[in-house]
Amino acid sequence: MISTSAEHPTRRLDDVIHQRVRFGILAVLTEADRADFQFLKERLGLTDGNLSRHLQVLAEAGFVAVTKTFEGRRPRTWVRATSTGRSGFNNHLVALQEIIDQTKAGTK
Amino acid sequence: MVSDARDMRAVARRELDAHGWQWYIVWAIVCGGASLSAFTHVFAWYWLIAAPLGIVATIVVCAREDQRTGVQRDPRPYWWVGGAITVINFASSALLPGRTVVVVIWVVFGFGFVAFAWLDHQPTIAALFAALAIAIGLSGPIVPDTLTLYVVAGLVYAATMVGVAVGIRSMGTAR
Repeated sequence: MISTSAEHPTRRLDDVIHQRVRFGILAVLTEADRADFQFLKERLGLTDGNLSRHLQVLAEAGFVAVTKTFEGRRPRTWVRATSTGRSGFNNHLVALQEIIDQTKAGTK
Repeated sequence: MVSDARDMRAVARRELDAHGWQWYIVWAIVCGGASLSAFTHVFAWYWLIAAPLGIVATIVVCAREDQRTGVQRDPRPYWWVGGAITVINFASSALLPGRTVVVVIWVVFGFGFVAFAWLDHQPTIAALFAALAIAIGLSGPIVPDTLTLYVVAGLVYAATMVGVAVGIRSMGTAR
């Protein structure tokens, strides 16, 4: 789908989502209902500190909700994409796809 | 970046799909038990006990697997399908004549399993259960003995679900 409006799709890209790690986190969370910290860390190949920092950015933007639970004495952190996060990620993907389509159309 | 998103979603989906085998064992036991109950005095009230137990067991095994793997799928669509199967089957057993109920119960279960397999992104398994449900529905008017139809249908579902569970599990461990 190619945008017919004057606005270029890059204007609809979200800077918070566009970062590679945060984009990966939201990609996982829009497929699953929720995932735990360890799962995200292993699948995305991140350190604890790195993942925490990116989750904090996403949570402050309202894109994810973080819940801490306890299994016995062991703490466990679950992360879920909010409805804002899901729609933001999907809109971001659409904008990216439009950029790809426009670029391909321009090179033909 | 778009293909990155596709890859990451596929990773999450594979993990979720790989732990979708245990509920098949639960319902293989429930369906097999239904067939065996036909020869006992339990027959009349089997589903009143087995259906809630099967639902509770399914919730428990799925929750345990979610905890173990650290990734969980949205349970709400599964609740809707499970609720629909339960309501239709209990309503049909109250409203329809015995012979029809026998066929309806298994056909409803079959299409319920189609919906569950579809939610688990398993179109081949969904097609398999659709074929079984249609075959049972069509054999209803042909097979003269209602009890035989009930027993055979239950055993066929049970055997199919064991096969499906083994298949999903072996594919999951192969990854």
